[in-house]
Amino acid sequence: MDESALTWEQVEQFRQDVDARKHYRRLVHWLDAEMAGKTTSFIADEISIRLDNYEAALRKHGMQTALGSLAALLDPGFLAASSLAVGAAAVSGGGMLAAISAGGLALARGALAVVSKCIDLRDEVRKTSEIAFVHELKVKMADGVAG
Amino acid sequence: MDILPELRATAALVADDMAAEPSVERAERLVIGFANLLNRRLGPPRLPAKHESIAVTTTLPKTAALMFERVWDPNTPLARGTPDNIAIYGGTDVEIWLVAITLINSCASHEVSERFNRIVYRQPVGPIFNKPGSIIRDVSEALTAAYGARATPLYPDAVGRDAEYTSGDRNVIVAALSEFGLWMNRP
Repeated sequence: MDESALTWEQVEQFRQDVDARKHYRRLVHWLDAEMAGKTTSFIADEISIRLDNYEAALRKHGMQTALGSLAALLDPGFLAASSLAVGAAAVSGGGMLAAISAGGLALARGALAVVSKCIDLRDEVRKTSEIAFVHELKVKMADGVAG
Repeated sequence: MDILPELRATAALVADDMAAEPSVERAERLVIGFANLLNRRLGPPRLPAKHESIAVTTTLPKTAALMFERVWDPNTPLARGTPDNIAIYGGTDVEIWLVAITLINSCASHEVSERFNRIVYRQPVGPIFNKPGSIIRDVSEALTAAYGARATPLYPDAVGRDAEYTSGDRNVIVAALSEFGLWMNRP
């Protein structure tokens, strides 16, 4: 964090952020519970490691969310089943309505896959959530300086 | 009205007087006179609410404001521009002396400034600072003694880095984040 690059406007905005305050309390709680008696250098190292893990989990979360929806939509068995359903509905005179139903099924299945992967990864992010405050500081202050 | 030019002009006069090898008594008279002027011109204290956390720092006010509700800033003479809803000033003797000494030093030559600091820090002049490096701790203790405020001195250097974390000690958090920041910004 570069004091000279910070502006009071950025500081004021950050202080008004409800999530940031919540994350700050979580950071302090973690420090009180687990870092008592540790040196500043040790804590700095620990923050660095946990921040890396937190950011890796966030990235993985984003990638798997995208991959999960793609995989579900491109699953060959599922696509074949959808085509059959559309074909059968068309033969029986369903036409456009059948196509919409098949599309709806695909979306629902995609959404389900995304949700289940999100639940798995949310646990991974939660394990290092005490560091969310540091991540927010890093991102918001960098955005503010750049912007 | 901006009182800074007037205070700087007076500080410059004091610094000129200090150039002539002052005795301890003369140095004391000069600083007390200037501190009294400051006390009249700095106005009433701006105090925090009882539950608010306070950081005392001369180098990291904005970083401190990310983690503390209020930050010590005697306002005009040091001209740091801390917003009113964040800045606090207790008007204690230690604070007024610190502002007086900072202003006089800023107007004196290096040689005069060194002589002046030797007198102020090593002689029983005014409210004695524990030692030159302890000023922010002295201000924190003065605020706590005068108002019962939870004031934390924030060290930007090795003093803070070597500290151990105790429950609720935000000084170490800032020090850890500052240290962490050094390599966080590496390309």
